[in-house]
Amino acid sequence: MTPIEPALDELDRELLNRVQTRVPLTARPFAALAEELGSTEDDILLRMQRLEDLGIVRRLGPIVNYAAWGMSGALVAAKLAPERVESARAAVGEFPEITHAYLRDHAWNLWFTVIAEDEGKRDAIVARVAERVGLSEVRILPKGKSFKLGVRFEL
Amino acid sequence: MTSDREFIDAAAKGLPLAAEPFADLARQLGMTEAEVIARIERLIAEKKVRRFAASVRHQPMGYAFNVMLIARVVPERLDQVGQAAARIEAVSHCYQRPHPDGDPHCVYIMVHGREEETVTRVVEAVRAIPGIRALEVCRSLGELKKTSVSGVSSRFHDEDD
Repeated sequence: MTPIEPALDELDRELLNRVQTRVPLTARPFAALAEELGSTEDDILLRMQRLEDLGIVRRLGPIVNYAAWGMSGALVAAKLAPERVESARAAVGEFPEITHAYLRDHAWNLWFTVIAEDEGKRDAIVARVAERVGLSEVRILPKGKSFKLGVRFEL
Repeated sequence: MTSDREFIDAAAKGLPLAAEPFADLARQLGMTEAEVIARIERLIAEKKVRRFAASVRHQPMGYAFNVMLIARVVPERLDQVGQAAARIEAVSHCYQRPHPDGDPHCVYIMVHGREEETVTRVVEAVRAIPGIRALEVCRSLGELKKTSVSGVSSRFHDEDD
């Protein structure tokens, strides 16, 4: 994807910093944000809409601790032959449980995240991808101790 | 009574950008707005939900340089390395995972930067952390998938961004 640098003003940036940390849990959250930021509810809603139209805001909702729901996730590393990239793209696209996939500059060049209802299902999905793409080497890498989780940027 | 699971599945689809977004979810679930807000507060208190917030896509913001660092660490220094890396602003995620080659004593460090230079600076800062035996820098060569919001995975797709 080509990065674009949309024109955001200071208020847009401050709004983004706040909403990616928390949306106020109150009946009219955008009115509450407007008050914090010295703006109006209508203005905040318009800005949020624009940020969504620009593809910057993806979704307003719960950021879930999936392990607390008994679900099982992992990062998967594999060795992918260059001529199989399109096959890999199709395979990872097929499973909603695969949330992100990247090619990386490393001997293990295919990396994807998978999150499923339980460990058995997770491993079965990885096995099916490996079979479809013809991956010879695949490793499921469960997360150990976490030191930092939230994605938060000063914009 | 809406179960927590039904509730989270509905909430994970995302709230509308409307003046009263929780009222919309409440109608959908046959709950009151106050019940919806109380449920979210409880799930946060129970640590089943980390926070209620907007998910932001970074590439349109110009965070084009996405690098994953794998630090092979001296086993007894793992916590110190993880904590030191987590303190760096441009590091978005940092956790222990095994190396695909089998070494369990590794810290994975995800870096997002607006400029190549930011990433280079972070890599140098990480390199200076004591306790790292070797550092592998894995640049992103392309994205094969970035989940859109749909179905079962919408619940957790933010976790490993």
